[in-house]
Amino acid sequence: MKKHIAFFVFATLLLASVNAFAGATITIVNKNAAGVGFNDPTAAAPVGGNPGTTLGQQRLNAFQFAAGVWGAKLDSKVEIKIFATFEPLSCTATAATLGSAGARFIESDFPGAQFPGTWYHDALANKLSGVDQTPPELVAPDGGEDIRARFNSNLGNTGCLTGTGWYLGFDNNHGGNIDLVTVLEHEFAHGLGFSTFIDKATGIELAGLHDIYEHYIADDVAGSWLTLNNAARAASVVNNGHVIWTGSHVDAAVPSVLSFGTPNLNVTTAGAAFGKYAVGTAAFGSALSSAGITGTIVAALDPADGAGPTTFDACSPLTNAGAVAGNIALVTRGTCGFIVKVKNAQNAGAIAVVVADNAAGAPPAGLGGADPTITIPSVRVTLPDGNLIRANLPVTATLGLDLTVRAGANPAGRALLYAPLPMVPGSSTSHWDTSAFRNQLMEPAINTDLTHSVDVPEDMTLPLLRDIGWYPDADLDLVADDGADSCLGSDLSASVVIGNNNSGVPNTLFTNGCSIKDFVNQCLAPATNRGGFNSCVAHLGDSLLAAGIINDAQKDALQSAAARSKLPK
Amino acid sequence: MDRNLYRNMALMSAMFILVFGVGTASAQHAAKTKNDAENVNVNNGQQAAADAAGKLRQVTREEQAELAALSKNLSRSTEGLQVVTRNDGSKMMDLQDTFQEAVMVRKTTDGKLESACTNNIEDAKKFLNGDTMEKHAPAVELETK
Repeated sequence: MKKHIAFFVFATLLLASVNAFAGATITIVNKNAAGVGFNDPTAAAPVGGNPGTTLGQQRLNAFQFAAGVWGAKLDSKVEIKIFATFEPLSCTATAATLGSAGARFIESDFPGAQFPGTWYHDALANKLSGVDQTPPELVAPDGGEDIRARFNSNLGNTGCLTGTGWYLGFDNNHGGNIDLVTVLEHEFAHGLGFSTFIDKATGIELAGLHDIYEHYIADDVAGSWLTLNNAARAASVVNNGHVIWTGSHVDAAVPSVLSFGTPNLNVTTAGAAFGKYAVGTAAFGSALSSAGITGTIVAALDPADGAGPTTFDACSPLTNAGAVAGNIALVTRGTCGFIVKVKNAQNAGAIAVVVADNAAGAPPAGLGGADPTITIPSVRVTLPDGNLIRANLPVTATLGLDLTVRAGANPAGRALLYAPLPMVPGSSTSHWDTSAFRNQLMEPAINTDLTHSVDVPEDMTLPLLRDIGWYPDADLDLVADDGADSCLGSDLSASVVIGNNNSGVPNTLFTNGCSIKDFVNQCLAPATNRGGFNSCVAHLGDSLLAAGIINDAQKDALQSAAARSKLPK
Repeated sequence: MDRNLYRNMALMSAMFILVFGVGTASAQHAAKTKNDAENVNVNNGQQAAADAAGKLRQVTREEQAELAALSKNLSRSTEGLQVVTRNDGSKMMDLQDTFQEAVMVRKTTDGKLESACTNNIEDAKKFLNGDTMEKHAPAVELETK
């Protein structure tokens, strides 16, 4: 008896295992003509796990690999189809369009939508509704693909980012080339829902409706974007350091993904300049530390001469070395390179340098350049911050890492969205802030240290998609596994089959994610003999009859099927 | 039993991978060819190109078509887009290949790569033209002065 019970448990586990990997089927629909793009017959040696032997096949394999990454993480009973081409895109010898992607359709107010009056990306709408919202017959002649993706077939050829091409392997060993899988993962995420349709310049919503991404954007000063008017939303777009994501999955992911340690300048002298200032760090000199460097900020002075027209630009050897020595030098950006300014301050004995920007913009960018003889740390602050500090000198400050704030999050631990000033229309808010560390797949730039991971502890892309509705649903019963689903791995057969006996009773699925067959299976689990099992099914039938879910005949059919099954065996 | 369990799970996993490995060949679009020996220079609607010797010239028809296609893909205009309301009250909009996001890349003077993802055509043109766009992005070459 135990053996048979064990076998049944095994069969159930196997079913559950299969369902646990249900995922989503993402199909790359190759729309290239013969001989080009995905069909390019040029011979190619397998690379980095990509077994293709032609250029076209390797491209298609890379697309399928990236689709597989997402398909393994997302659950949908509706196939996700990507209208894909490899084709010549705009480029020069030194710059190129790598590719583009996005949702082809958007949907609102469909059955299963979490929020009314809200646009959803098509693939997400299909997932939530359980049906294809744009079947081919309704959107002829193109077909109902959910995402459009086109990538540059000329990359690396002469005249198109000459000499730097796609890396088509799966192992991320891209060297000096561009990892296609990473770029595809990024672009597919936009198509799956990682983007807002709001006009960034005006704050106007698309066709007067919210979008699902917008539901989770907030300004930690002004409030949820849903509550803001157009002008307030437009103002928030450039409220650098204050535009946050409010979804619970991302909130939960932040501690696992983002490191503590936000570079800043902390002015501790009471007065108008008191407080913490965002800084851009330097590519040269010593890195900022958590201990920080504390000192008095003093203005560095140098001659207004041919090297630099002002006495604050530090383009020449400083004239007030006595005041600067042992302190933090404040200099102004402009005319000469950052390394010249910092080296002059270092030569005067400065322990660190603060470069005040001479142009508007936030957050403060980093300082570029290379000089191995520079050993002190240096940073940039914004133009208004620099002016404020200069107007209140001398002040005492600590330059270092704020270990109370995670890199890429606000002080409350909410993930920051990219909201630079001046606005970058095409990138603002549809990406994570560039201060994020570790680096994130969905920052506006594709960083070279990215892994292919889209989930914690490396990445927050999947948590964001979970927030907008891509809930886990391994049994594809449209009830969230991490929410209301009381029966993970549901049996969703059309009718209730007990053993080999089809009762003919429709296998109703309840809102808690349990089907009638799930309840029958639950009767089996504790039953030690057939009498107990049959009695449990009889009680189940009575309950379903009383609830008006089945009729008398169906109740009898259930009991009969249970009796004939001779379960448990 | 355990061995069978693992064997069956492995079989299921293999089947799953096979399912995912399927790509679908479908309708074909005409391909374009392009003169790879010349460079395109774009700047706020004024289009010129330089040949291998650096001499300015008019952009080719293919290059114009590529820029036009990119402009369309990155368009955020609702002109021509229609909201379709179905019988059940749900709404649908065919974005007609607009509202897309594009990833651009360029080489800096020291040969490093910098990239930017944008959905704005002016940003894209500036980026291709070498103007600073993503000055705050970490993969972008930092200003040196």
